[in-house]
Amino acid sequence: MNHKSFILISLLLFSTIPLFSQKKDIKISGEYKGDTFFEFVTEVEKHHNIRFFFNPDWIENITIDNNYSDILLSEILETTLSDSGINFFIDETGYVILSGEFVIKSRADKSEQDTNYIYRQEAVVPVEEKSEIDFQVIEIGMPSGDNRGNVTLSGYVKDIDTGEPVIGAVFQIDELKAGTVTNQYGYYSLTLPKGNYHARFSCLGMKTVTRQINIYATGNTDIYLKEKLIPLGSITVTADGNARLSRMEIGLEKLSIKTIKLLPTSMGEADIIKTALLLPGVQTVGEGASGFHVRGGSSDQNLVLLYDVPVFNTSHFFGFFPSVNSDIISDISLYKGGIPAKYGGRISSVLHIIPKDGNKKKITGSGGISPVTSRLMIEGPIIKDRTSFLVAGRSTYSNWLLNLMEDTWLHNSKASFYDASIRIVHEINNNNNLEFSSYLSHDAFNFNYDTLYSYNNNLLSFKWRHIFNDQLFAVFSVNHSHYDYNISSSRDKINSFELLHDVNYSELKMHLTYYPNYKHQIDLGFDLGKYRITPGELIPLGDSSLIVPNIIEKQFAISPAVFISDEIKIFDRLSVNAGIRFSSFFVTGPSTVLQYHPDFTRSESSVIDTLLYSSGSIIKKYFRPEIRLSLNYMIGANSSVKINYNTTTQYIHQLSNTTSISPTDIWILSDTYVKPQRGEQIALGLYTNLFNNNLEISLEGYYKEIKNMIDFKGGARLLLNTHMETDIINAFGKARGIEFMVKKSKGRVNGWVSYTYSRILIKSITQFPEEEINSGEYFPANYDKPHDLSVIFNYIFSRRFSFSSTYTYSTGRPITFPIASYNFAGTDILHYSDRNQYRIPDYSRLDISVTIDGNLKIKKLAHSTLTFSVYNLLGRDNVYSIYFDTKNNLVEGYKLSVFARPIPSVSYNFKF
Amino acid sequence: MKILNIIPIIITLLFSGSCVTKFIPEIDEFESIIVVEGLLTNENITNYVKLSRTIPVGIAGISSPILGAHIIIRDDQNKIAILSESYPGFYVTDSLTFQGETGRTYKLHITANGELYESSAMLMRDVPPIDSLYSEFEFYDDGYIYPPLYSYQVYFDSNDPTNRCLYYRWTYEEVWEYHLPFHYPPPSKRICWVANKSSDILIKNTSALEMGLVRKFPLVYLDNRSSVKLSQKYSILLRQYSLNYEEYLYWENMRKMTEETGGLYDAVPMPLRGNISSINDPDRIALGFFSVSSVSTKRLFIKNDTIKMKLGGQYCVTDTLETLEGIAGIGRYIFVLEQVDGVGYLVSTYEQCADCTLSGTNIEPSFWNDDILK
Repeated sequence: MNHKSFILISLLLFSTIPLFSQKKDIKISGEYKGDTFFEFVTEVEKHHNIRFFFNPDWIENITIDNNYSDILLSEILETTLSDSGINFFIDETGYVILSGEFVIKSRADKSEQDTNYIYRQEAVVPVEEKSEIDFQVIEIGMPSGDNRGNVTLSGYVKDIDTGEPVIGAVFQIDELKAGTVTNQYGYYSLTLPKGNYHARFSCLGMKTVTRQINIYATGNTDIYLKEKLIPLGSITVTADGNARLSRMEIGLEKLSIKTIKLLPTSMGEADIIKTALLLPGVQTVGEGASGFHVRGGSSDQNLVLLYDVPVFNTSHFFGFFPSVNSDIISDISLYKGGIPAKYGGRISSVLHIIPKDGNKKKITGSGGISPVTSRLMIEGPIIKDRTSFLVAGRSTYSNWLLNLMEDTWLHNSKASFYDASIRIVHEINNNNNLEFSSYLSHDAFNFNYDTLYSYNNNLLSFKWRHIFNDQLFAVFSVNHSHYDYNISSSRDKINSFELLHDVNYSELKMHLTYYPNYKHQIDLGFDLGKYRITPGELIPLGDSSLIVPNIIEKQFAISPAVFISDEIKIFDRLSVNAGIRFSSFFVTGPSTVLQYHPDFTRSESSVIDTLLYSSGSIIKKYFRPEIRLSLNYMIGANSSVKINYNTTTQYIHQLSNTTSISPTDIWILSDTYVKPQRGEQIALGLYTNLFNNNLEISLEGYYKEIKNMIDFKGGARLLLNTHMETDIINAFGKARGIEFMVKKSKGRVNGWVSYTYSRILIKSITQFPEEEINSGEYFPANYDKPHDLSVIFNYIFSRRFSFSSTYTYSTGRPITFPIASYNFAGTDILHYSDRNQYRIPDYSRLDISVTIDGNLKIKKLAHSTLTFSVYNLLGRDNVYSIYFDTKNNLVEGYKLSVFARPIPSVSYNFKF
Repeated sequence: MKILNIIPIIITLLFSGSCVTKFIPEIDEFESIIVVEGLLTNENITNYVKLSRTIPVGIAGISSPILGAHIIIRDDQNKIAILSESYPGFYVTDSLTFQGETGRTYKLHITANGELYESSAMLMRDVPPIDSLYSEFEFYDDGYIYPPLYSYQVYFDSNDPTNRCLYYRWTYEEVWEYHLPFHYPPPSKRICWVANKSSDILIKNTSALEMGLVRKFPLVYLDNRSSVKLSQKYSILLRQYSLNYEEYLYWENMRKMTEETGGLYDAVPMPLRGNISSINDPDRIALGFFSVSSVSTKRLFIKNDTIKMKLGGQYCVTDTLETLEGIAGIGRYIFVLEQVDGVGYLVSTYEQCADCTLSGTNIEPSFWNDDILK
């Protein structure tokens, strides 16, 4: 634990002032006429054997205007400091510690939870000799008889205030140089030889807890962590510095929601996706583009998990708002490489959104109001300490805003969205937990009564967590994810139509974690997924519509997978995580499969036969083993090298010929002709922490190959295409890049700089020369942006004011231009350049925000913050897209800038 | 509506922060490219080659013909036809001395402004005759909408038992006789023949079929409600061209690039490459196609004397108002004589409804009575 930044505790640790008797009843006399608190302190210290510790910022504006005669010091401090919301603590030695908004309680005030077979005793250690106020000894079993052999220590790490699990807390045994990390449910388990140990439980933002553990029998203990006594806004981006070094995964980025909420946004809403884009190796094609690209992967190659369920559409309003309300998130983890074997189904990355569990102690909530949306979240216990709930909702009032518009065209337009979620976590007993989570989102917009677009995301998850024994942890879950869109038009009776697309995914999961001893952690499990997709259905709307129905056959498939991985600590400095995932995919009927003449390019006219498959029959099988291998070598205490090799497979693909994800893009499954996409990545990373973990530097390089990428033939039709295989071709992609990041997480000035150089080139693979794109040569993918720089700078002025800024620069993305026009056989034709031979101008943007905290009183109705932000401060005209339109026989190019001028916004957030 | 165009609207709705401005792409030095449109058939007509240059995007569509080029067509027996420029950029063969022959291979050679271009060698494949061109009549009366629906769907069948020709292209030309629905003006301005050429790209690849066979290929749909084509007499001429695979792909790609797919999605853009290449400089590209085809034709007549089809819709709106503003929204008006129950009225109507030569010709086509003569 690194507390150097916090002078207070350091002083406590290293000063050797002799013991004093109880100083709580010390009395003060004196006349203070408008003296500053500092003057008061100086005066009191002069006359009494007392020392004050505080952060001068806190007491800047506090004055004392009173006459005291034999008044208790604690009384004076109470009256003087409570208005500013500053707590204090007077200990036996005569130290007066001002602790800001955190309350320090003496050991006597605190009670620890009892567990039946753990015998506890108070440490008989003088306070001034120990680093922790709550130092304790845990004794499990008795050191009698045979003291050889291994035992297991396990339990949950929880937040003392809310009872929620603490995810990613590091549990370390100093003597063994061994340790583990709590899983996403806050559970830990470590098997170790019998003996006496010093154990540390630490997590970012939490106070480290040290325990003397004398363990001679297998047992469990829950550890309660408390929020750390740190100046406000000291944000931390990744997990504990040490954790980053010792963690197995290469290319894993963790972001806490605190970090995300601090950064300026265009809409005044915290946005996990937009924040992820500031990390090295993560890119977007522009504002208004939903989805993101990781290390040369397309946007459908990211597995976005909420409640461990895949989310098919991650945004509202084409990417202007994240689809997941930030109030329900605890952390996000983004795996860019080194994807653990338990995750499968997408080849480029896993974005794991870890939800909050709900406060088990008391009812609290939070919410916010921004120019376009407002949101509210309430959490609390249903049964105290056993069952918690968390409900959240968010909506936009843009419809109302539009109604105010005088322009009839805008007045008649509609744009709205909402999302809502509910989560209930119930603890049956120490070994059994139940979770129910559900999420839904809805978007609808239309323009001037014309076409109505709407889309929906629904998630449902049931989970049972069971601890078989101290070494075996299990999670069983049943999940469902649904996405659909609907486009309809009813203005013109004759042409009224409705167009539907939906994706249904259900899964059954069984994941086990086995901790045989402290050198191994074995994960194994089984996933069974089931898909049902409606690729597209065009149906007439109303009786007078002349639209001819066009219904594309539904797609069905079953996708079972098994995996096993073992994290092995080979010796002190070297650990390996070796895993394998056997994934498979069964395409099932009913289905009509066209057979094509092998000597011709697939088209309607090369069909030679049609095969009909009945319901449930298996049309095509795919088996793909996926290897997940990571190696971590620690060089000294502050540096590490990691190597990783990954293969991944993807059976569901999003078809989009616009550059970004749009809600009308469709998902299709692998079938007879569409082969599973296959990714293979090798990565090397160097990490070092300097200045006592204050500065983290990382350098990662990767090379990745993607087989069976889907590209489109020229002139391809994606919508309502009954034989998609005739319009798509196989492409091979090779991506490589170097990612560099320097980060300072602590202190008043913090932030990071990340720079990525990366390329993604693809080429078409086909036996028919006429299908080749750019004559079969490599060409940059739509999202190839070689240079990408992000600078995040945060400055905390004081407890109430903080400033945050982000700057991003990237190369413009590739684009295909029409370079000339001509007439052939009476038709005007645009002559296009080769695919992606041009680029739109480079992208550059600076955003700033200032966050003002409400008053610092501890007892108030709600804790509120006000954030002013300006997006695109420099008003740079960043080009989002270039398109061409023919008007009056004249082909003209237009460039679209989404935010061509600075966009100021104000948002108000509160917590209660 | 294209998705790309929706985004600015959303932004405008929400923030009024977006902007769309004209953009002139910085093309690495615009270089105009030669465009060749040539058609050589076995018909006893003049064959032509059109030469033009591409124009930059953003400049109004004025054609840019290439003048004074030297063009020859050479066959595999070294028979040469020299084309002469009949009007700017339009070069023709002499039908008296040169005609395409089935089974021969042809190559186009162009010398324009010192640059040499040639086509790949194109075989003139044989084309079978069109089996039949026919129509299916349908009458539909739901009792509510007047007039009842009379419709014709024109189909054709083609049959190539020997598989001589694997790839086809079809074009058609429609002609219909049209009478203005008034008693004045005189027949020279009242009775006309209007022509329309097909704009769709109709192609088929029969290579995967056991015999080259086209059955009931839908060509055009006609009805009394949506057009005047059936008002008197209608004729359609179908031309069937044999294609090489290379040319088939060219038309296939062109069809994909130019066909409306119905909104939402743009077709994935691609350069259309034909069979013309530069001799001097392999990196220099040339656009367009030199088509070499055998042709067979068939004509069909549909006459409106068997059933009295009432035309639906008001093709010529009349107004009794003799205002100088004319009919609202049209601008120009002209007077015609309308007879109702033997009484003549002077009414105003569109200019096109007073003079049919504005949309057609008053000269009867030479083939117009071929169906009667037979």
